[in-house]
Amino acid sequence: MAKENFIPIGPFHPLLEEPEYFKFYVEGEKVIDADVRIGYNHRGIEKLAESKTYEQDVFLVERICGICSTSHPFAFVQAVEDISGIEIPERAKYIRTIIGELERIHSHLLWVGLAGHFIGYNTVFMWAWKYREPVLDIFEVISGNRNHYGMFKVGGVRRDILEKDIPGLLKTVNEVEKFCSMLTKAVMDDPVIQARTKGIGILKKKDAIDLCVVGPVARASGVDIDIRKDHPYAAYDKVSFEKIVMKDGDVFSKAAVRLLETIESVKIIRQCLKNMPEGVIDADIREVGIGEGIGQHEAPRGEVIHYVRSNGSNYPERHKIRAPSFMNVPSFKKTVIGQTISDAALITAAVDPCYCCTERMAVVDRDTNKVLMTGDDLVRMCQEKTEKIKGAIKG
Amino acid sequence: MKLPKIRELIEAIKALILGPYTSKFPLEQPVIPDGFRGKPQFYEDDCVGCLACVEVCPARAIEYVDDKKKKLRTLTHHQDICIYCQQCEKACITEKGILLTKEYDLATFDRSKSITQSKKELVICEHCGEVVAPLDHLKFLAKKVGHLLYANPTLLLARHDELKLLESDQPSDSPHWRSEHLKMLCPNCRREIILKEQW
Amino acid sequence: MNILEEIRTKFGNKVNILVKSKKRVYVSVSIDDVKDIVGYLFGILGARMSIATGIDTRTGVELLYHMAFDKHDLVLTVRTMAEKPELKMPTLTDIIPAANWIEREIHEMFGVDFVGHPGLERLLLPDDWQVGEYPFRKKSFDSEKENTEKE
Repeated sequence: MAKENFIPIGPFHPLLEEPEYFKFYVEGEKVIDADVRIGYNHRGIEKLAESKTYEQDVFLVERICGICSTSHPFAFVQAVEDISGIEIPERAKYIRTIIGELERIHSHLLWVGLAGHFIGYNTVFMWAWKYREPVLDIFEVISGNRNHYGMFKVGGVRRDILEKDIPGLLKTVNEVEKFCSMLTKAVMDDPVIQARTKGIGILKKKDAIDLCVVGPVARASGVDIDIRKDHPYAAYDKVSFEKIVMKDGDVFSKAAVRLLETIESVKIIRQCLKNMPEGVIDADIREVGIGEGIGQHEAPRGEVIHYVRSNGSNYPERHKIRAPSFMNVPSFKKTVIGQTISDAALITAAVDPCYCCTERMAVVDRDTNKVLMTGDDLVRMCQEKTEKIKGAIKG
Repeated sequence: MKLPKIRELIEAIKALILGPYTSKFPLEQPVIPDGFRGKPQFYEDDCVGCLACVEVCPARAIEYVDDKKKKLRTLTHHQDICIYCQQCEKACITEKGILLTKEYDLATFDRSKSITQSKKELVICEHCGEVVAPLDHLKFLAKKVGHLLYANPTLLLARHDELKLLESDQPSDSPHWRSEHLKMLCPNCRREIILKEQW
Repeated sequence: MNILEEIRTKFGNKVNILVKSKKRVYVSVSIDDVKDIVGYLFGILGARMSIATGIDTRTGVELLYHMAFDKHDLVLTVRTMAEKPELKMPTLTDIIPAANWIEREIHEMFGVDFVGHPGLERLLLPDDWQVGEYPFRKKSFDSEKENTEKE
């Protein structure tokens, strides 16, 4: 019987944006079993939210994640407004949509850069993050900060988009669209990337439905869900855009879904800016009411859902938060078994778990406890396989 | 296959000509737009010490300490706990007491220097010795209320403090004589003297 | 297809339906019927399980299963109550594999025992957390119990 080794990836690893601990059991080069442990970033936010008022809670949930920092306040204020059916002004709905779509652009560009780096195409990494900078700059002009915008409020938004900022916003969005079209065509035509990512890490449609995955991971496997079209909210029922659904479920489809979604976001922003009405931006809510409410939002990584129960006092009685990666991360177990170890890292990154990365990883021989490979070695293995494929195609 | 390469080649030539996208910080400082949320700063002349910012802060970064002997209220804002959300500025009743500046370079080796403070003179109840309010807060309210201040002894004594009627140092032990109406009293003592006055 | 009509015809008076608005419906059931109803919603009617919530109350732990009907713009919540002090619930992992992680989280935060779960171990809390200490239980209920016991 071959000696069974297990390779730990994590809890701190460059491929993952946040700490998790993946255990891959390998035989030779093939992965035969996988397991994941989470909980390194558990901060007790749900319990803390029961001792802060509703206005203070909006700032607390904003800091759950740095990349998708608008998604959680978006779902939370909709849950609180659902408790007693509060209506918000029209202009506030359009501003909320614009902020949500700008955030989707910057999050997908970040992922494209990281994926490019780990395949070995460092130019894609540099260019994607270069075109992400104007998006962060326009956030600084609109909201005062490049991250953690603080724009959402129960009953509306806090700041207005002024007339003098709109030309800058349109210029940024046009530049991003040009870059994304070029990148999409370059990725779809390149034979090396196709050979590297097609047919790897396939998630079948039945597994996707059983595991209730959400977001681009589900849409890449043929499951037709998008909260913006299925449960419309804010201004999404007043603009027209397409749902991007692909059939294969491999890493290539997941990348293509994210790139094409960025171009749809640009269309949504242009339509919103053209149709935005004048008026107030805040409905000046004084009390929240007694009852329970549910709010949903389509974040860059999938569906965010918040549940709030209020008992009439200043503090919520229960606040439940579910981020999209909670449903997506268990699906990697189905996709990674049977693949090689150099692909396993790429498949895990394609799920796009939402975190910030640090670096420390080792491959340890289970019997002798000797370190066989370090973190840089595993990333290098991933990039070397690309070189091999490139050589095979050219030669 | 040649056409896609030309797209990327044009982009590469543009990048070579324009040079690196990054700027030479700290030799070149960036341009900060209006409305940037930088470091908060107390302005003592406009702050009235009402504690609205303390109640609203989501991170509990502003704290206050009342000193009854020195009659001083000290408000302290800690920059290392602050999340720069601008709620203190929006909640301030004078709209100028605490404002967010454009400073962003706040790293330091000494935590005790990264604070900003506001010190306000307190007014003490002449019967029981408890804190009533900062003097500037009562003056702000007196101005807002207009001529109605003459119906309220607390606001009247605060507004016209040039009459020097606020200057007794010890709380008095005397029973509720009617003459105590025109002394500075806290709300509890004010209620007691209205119910139980003797003459 | 009207979802509420289908549920009423199949389950009759085992369910208690409250329609809060066009998009939000709350259904109360007893603990013995939860598996049948959620299985019907997931398998036959094609709902997707969004998440499950646990809330600590005086008499037990209230469990809410949020099912999303994406084709009908509806979120239907199935509400049930696990009584104290036993706190036993049948598991849903054999019909919905997605319920694996959320049942582990409710078990370590509230102390609810899911009968039949394939591996009920810690998900979020560290390994050296004290057994029997459930972070999400409200402390005011425990101290009320102590006061009444003293009397």
